[in-house]
Amino acid sequence: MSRFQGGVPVPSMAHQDFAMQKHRTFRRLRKNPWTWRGLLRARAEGQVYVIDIEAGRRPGGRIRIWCREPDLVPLRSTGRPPHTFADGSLCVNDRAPSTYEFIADTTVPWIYSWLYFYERWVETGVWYGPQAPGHEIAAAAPEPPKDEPRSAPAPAPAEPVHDRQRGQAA
Amino acid sequence: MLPLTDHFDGLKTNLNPPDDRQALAEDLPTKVRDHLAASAILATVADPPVSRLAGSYGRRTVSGDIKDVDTLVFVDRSYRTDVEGVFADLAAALKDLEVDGYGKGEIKTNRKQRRSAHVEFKKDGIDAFHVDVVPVIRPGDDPTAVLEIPDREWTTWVPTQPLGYGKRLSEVNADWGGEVVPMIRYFKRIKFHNMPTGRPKSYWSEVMVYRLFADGVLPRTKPLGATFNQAERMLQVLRGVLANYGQNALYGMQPPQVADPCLGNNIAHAWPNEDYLRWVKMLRNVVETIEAVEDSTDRDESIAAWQKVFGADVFKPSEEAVAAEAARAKAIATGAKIAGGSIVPAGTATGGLVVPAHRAYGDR
Repeated sequence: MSRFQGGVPVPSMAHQDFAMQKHRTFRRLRKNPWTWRGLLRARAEGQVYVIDIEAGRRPGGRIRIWCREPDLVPLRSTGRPPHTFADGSLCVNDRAPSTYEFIADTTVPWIYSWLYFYERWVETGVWYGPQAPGHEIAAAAPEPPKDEPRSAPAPAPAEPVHDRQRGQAA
Repeated sequence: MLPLTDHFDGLKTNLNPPDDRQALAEDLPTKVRDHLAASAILATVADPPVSRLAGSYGRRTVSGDIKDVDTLVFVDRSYRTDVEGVFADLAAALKDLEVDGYGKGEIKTNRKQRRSAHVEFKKDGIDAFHVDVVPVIRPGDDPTAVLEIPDREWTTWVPTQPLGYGKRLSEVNADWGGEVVPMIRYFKRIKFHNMPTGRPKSYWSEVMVYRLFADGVLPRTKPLGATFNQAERMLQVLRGVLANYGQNALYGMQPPQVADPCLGNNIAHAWPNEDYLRWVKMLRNVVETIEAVEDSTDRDESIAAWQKVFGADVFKPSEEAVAAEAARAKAIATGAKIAGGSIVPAGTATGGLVVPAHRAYGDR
């Protein structure tokens, strides 16, 4: 059932679940907390990742994103993959989707984007994607894109990596 | 294990035969057919004669610049009792065969060609180009069914199914999402780079890898469904081949059988034990080299190990491909869509789901 905030309907978790069906790769794992699992690849014929999205018990709950497989490559400085939280969950944006937005239309596309730029980072040492100011991956690396990305500074050089750790999400 | 995707993609490209040679090979059946059609010497099953590209060029499993191209010619069944006759007629009919850029070929009779007529094309400054034209009797109408080819030494016709194998390989490769053919090519390269002389023949190596996939020896995915990257898969293939074909060396046994993918006969019956032992040792060394970086995330160390295995001249990214991917990354960073199950620059897809602007966050 929808609830309203300021006269605007807030999607219920059931609505969120229904919207997730547009991504055929995602299946609901459980409802408490609401969790979906998807098999995603960032590029055609690229590696398939197993991604879990955990969205709490009710609308507006904290969304956490976990890469269950494969193990992600960590940064040497933190011992965990770039743009992840301390618990290893992925941080795909500097804001959470609003309660009016569908996870299927926001979080899921952000994950694709995150995976794509993660793969390029593994290959080149450069995070080519948009990054929140103050949270750029430090790097010494190949030439970044010359144009400004949509909402972030140019990629900074990345450091070598040294250890492996399972990527998780938040 | 680090995926080193750009390096493996570069390897795939670097193992392609030169474009002109692949084009020459693909054009060859038509050339042979037209040439034979102009001659009344060879009795063929149809007029104009039917010929097909076979071998690694036909299956697209060439690894590097292979100079031998196999072409089948379907000959009349009247040759069934005349093995010597079919070779004599074929050699006479192939006289003056020409291919673009090389001119007329030379029929080689001094080379041990048990099952084909061999034509060599030479050109100054270019490696010779060899064509093996194999006469084939087709019992029925299906070219992918069991065929018969003459054996000069045994003076009889023996069963074979080259086009049937090509069809099976295509099916298995499609079933495994296109993983099989690249692994065959990589494996052949490892043999060539680390053991340039001696057997196994290239085709035996191909069949060993084919068997790992066709017989379900390898896992398709990780436990939850993630795929293996090319580096992980390559190591699996090496371990799988050693497990299937390297055991005999441990116990002082003769080389193992390598079963024909279609007919089941041992295609490696002429594998000298000395070559076999060298090959097993070489594979063990290769596996040890890769295992040393299996758990490493040190990029330079990993690249060095793989370059030792494949050769630094081929295990390197394609500069053009890397530049194209950098341009693509730049485009995706400025606007993207999810289309066809992956992310693409916004301008390249008419449909799809727009990726809302976002910025990666998280601790540094």
